[in-house]
Amino acid sequence: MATTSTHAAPTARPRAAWPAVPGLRLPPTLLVGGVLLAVVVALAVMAPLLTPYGPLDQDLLNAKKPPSWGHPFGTDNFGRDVLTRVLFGARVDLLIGLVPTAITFVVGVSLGAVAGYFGGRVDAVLMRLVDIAVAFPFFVLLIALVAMLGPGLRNMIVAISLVGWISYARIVRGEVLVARQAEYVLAARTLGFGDARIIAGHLLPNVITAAIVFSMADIVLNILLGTALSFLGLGPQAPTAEWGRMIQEGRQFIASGEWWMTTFPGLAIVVVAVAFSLIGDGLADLLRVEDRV
Amino acid sequence: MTPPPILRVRGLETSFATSGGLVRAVDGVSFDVGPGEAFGLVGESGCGKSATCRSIIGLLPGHATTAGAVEFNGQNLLAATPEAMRRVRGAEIAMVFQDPMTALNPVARIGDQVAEAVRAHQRVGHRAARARALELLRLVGIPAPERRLDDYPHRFSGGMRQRVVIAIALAGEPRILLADEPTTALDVTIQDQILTLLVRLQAELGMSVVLVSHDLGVVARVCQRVAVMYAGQIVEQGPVETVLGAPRHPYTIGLLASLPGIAGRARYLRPIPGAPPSLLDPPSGCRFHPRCPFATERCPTWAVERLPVGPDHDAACWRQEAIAEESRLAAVGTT
Amino acid sequence: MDKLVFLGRRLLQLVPVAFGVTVVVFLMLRLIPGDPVRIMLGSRATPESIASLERNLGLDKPLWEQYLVFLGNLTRGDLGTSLLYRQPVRELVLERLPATLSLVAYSALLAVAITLPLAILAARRQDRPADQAVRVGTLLSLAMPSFWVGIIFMMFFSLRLDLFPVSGLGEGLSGRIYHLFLPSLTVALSLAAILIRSLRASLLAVARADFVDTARAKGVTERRIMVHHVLRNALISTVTILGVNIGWLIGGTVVIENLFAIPGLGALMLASISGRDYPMVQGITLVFAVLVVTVNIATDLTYAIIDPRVSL
Repeated sequence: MATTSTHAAPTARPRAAWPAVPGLRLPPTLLVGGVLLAVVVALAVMAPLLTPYGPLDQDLLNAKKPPSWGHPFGTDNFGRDVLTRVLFGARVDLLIGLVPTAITFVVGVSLGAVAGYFGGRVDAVLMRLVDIAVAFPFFVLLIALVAMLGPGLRNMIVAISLVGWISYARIVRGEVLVARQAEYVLAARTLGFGDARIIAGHLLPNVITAAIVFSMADIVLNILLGTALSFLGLGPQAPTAEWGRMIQEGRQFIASGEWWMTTFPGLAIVVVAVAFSLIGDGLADLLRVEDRV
Repeated sequence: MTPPPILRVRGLETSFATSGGLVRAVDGVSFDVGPGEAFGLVGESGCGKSATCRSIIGLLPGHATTAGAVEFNGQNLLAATPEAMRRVRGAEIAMVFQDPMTALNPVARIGDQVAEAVRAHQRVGHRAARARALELLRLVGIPAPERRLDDYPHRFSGGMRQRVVIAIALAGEPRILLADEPTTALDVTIQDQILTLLVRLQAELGMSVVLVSHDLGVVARVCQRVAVMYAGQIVEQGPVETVLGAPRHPYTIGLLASLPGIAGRARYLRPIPGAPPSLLDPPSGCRFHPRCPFATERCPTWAVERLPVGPDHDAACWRQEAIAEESRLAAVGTT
Repeated sequence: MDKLVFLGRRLLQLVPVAFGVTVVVFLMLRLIPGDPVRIMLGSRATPESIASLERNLGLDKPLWEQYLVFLGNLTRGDLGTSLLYRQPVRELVLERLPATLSLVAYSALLAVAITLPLAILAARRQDRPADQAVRVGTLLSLAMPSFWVGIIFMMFFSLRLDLFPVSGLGEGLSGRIYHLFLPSLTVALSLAAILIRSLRASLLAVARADFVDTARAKGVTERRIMVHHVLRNALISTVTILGVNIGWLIGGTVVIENLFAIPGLGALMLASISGRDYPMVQGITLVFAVLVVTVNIATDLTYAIIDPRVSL
């Protein structure tokens, strides 16, 4: 035993110790998107350390100044540093992207799984709800809901959550309908496992990849919807540093040529949206899920 | 005297670039097809018979490369420009495909699909093309064709669709008809009707037919000459009666033995053991040697060549004399 | 004939949806925290005006009765009365509808005009630089908020190059085409990105179909194969994608109308929100839903007409 192991060690070791790790071959889109997002998150977290100004600090003598060394993104009509506001805005806008997505993901996936698994009346009710929800233009319904609830960040997130779960429920329901007939589920059922255990232990892990891939596109969507609501004055109120609101406030100055107040917050939205889109594409590649969006 | 061949395939090599490497699906295939002759290409799936067929008419996917020559009308089709090749397709060489359920455009009317083939090569108006389409549908035996012209493919059964595909192939009055497993996807009774139609059309129109099939019975019904393919190469070729009646190559013998109808009189009453080799890395020498019951140690190194057996009959086996003798003795012994 | 049966069946399926839509619109008012009447009237609130509005809206009756009244009014085409304009909501909505409809139609048209050449280019040059460029373009287009794109367009095309007006509808058909070009292009870009992705994928899938080989074996030109066989089949699934996304497009017009000062439904909706004119918001939401449902029916019908396999 000892002799063979010492003898065989140099040749045997690489095979045994270095099995192929498929996870290490990450799609390039996932890497680029991940790095981009990491940079954005780092900038948002370290914002106070990166800039000598505060997001609300006014300097009326230096209002509407074009980009310079002191103010790389220029200043707005109150003399606030646009770069500082863009950095602090990332905190709010990442929240707008992530919080409703997390809520709708959990709610939608659970309801979709239950409906798909049990079928019958539960499923029928869910599908009617879906039919009704898709009869409205999504954005119009959001505007109407926020209008009723009252403008503000919290109500905006509530409104997006009220409608957004539908997509997840639909995706997961479809996946479950297929997976329900799969052998591992039939096997679990013959073993006498309960419904809750089958759904949570066997079905969800297998159908959830489609929902995860979709959630990246959904984050992008929620950021775009949130900034749009905010642009219309239905989101966080002044003087919050938030990108949609900043574009709204800078809009009146484009006629006089002060382009930086609108351009930079918009670019920030594009960077974050691209980051999440790339991560979504990469995840789809990695998990081999077809683009269902 | 036999007339000169209308199609001459010489040293055809067709390769596909895959993630695993270069797959040489067709490796040095040569054969002739005479005017008005029906020529069969048989072999198991993956032996390169379909790739041969598609190489002739230039319908290979983008990742394929070809070498060798396909001579037609004094022209090497493998070197023809895309436009020259387009003029040949349909007008000189036409093709019938395996699956009639997918070979027709689902959103175009039958009459239009046949008329499109007519107008691809003839300067005729819409009405004339439609009239010709009607004539063609009648020729291939579609009942009441004047009422079916404006129907869509999904209204037709599989057999009727294959008749339409044949009508499309005939529209340009081609001199050669390539038929790639034309009956494989059909019910047995329908298969028979389509074969009868092909035999009739070949006789009536005097065109040459290249029939690709895995089914020796189908080839025997339609063809005068046959080539047996194995692992991208032709292993035996000759008139249908001699190749099927007195096969010389062990693979042909095995293929015949695995046929339930003919097996009764042969000694090798079983399917050929093993599976066809990977074309990424084919066996050396005779590619059949790992599965061959007659193989000797010389077979893995033998430089394969097709050795003449009789008039217009050759086989790529250096032991063919001995094998023929053995088979004869075995046949005598069993009867 | 059977297409008519199809349409009838499709309309019948709508009954529960229409019912649900009215329930949602009706209940929207209940989301208002506190006393909706007080909030609606704001500074205009007096005991008399509160009582009269409550009676007007039927808020003194039980909920189910209120709903029946609401439904009854709807069937007579009565969408309620605007608190702000003191006019029937229906009249105000009908006045603004044409501007929104032209914006939607114009955007859809532009989106298709952008999609066709780019999707065909990308599919024909799969994985080559042109395809990569189109893919990056669609990725960016989907990542850009339309209101921001609109502002960039304004700054560049209107203020810098002075090519297009920054706002308004214009006079006559040509004026409208001219004035609505930038807003429509803005809306069209994001729709085009979705359509290009979908059409490119279907073109690549159809190009592998057996019937394309049949067409090629006929000796038909590549151009004809692309148009008559590949594109014709690939467009069928894209029509569905277009139909689904017109719902998004209709929603998107609200922001764009606001940005380009187009007097359409969306602009009216936002004005009503800031004026706390809730009956108006309800009415407009309902009309938007009717628009989406109409587009969906039209899509299904188009699908049934262009795909002969739809057995009706």
